Amino acid sequence: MDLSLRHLFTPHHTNNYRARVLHPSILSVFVAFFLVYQFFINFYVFSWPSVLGFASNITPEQVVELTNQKRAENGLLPLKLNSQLSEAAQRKAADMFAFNYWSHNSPSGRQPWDFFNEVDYHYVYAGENLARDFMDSSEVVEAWMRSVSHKDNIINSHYQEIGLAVINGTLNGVETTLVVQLFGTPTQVQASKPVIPPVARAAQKEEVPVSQSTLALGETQLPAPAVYLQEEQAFPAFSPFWLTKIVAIFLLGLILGALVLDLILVYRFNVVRLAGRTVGHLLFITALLVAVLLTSAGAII
Amino acid sequence: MKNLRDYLALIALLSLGLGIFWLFDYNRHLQVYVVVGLGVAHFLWGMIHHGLKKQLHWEIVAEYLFISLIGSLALIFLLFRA
Repeated sequence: MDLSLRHLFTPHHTNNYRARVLHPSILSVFVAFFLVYQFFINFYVFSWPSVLGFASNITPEQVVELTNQKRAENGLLPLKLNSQLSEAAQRKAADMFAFNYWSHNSPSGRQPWDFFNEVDYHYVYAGENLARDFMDSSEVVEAWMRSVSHKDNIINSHYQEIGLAVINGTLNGVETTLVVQLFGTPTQVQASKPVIPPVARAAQKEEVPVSQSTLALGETQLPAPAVYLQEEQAFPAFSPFWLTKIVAIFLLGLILGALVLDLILVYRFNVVRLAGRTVGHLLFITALLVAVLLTSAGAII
Repeated sequence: MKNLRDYLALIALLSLGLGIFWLFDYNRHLQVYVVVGLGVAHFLWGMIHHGLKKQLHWEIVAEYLFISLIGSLALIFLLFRA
């Protein structure tokens, strides 16, 4: 083996019987490298947002289908796609991109329910689920189902209609795919039923006021279903998430490899040294490497 | 193994952290707290483990500090990108 490689990765008399990459001086270089890398990625993302970003295969039709599948598994009726709700979802996503926020409420204080009102959707029950940066539709729905508050929206027996928008745009300087899922029960449908107090079923369970509009008894005309998917656009070449994941795997893998080699060689040659053996580091780095591998792109609120 | 009790304690801590990390994969804030907790737990475990063996030298402190920092930073930055 080349002497410099030996010096770097194996315990040897040239490195005081401790692989050089495990010395505090080299470890501090790794820390500095990671900080510089993050600075570089941030700079790159803001300077060339079209190069780094996220591309997904999410379709609104699939999200609706999977949502109804989850409802069916829980013995609930499927939700009807409503074009007004999809329009409201489209407006919410556009607002998030325009004002650069990732939240149920906009920085100027607009609430999800404002978008329902904008499209004249009068409701007795309403809810909102948001997701970003997932690879495909099933990942989005599965992530929502793992969160209690989002699951509550999906399998809520009060909802009768759904609206969906899947929109690509730039959020915080990064190309992003936003999924906005709105739930509602129009006042017209509820008018013939016993009066039930309005319930908020957003991810945060905020209280929703009943719409001030008049009830249109007997005029339950649901518009033609529609979903919104932004037209094809040039997808970015790299995802900052995947780039960071590859760098993290490489860095942790390098340290793990050196630790394994160190453990084997120290045991084999019975080396006695100040630093002792490296089982503690080995367990820690292995746990974090598993966590890195478990981490997938995508966030929900 | 001489240090079996110490290693079992570390394995238990790491397994607990990893379990919470996996179980709450929809809650990024909680995941960041878990990763910070794992880094701190590894560092403190190293200090106690080597302290009890009367081997607590600055090289060991620095080694645990940097390994904890590298592991935690790698995962925290990844979570911010996710």
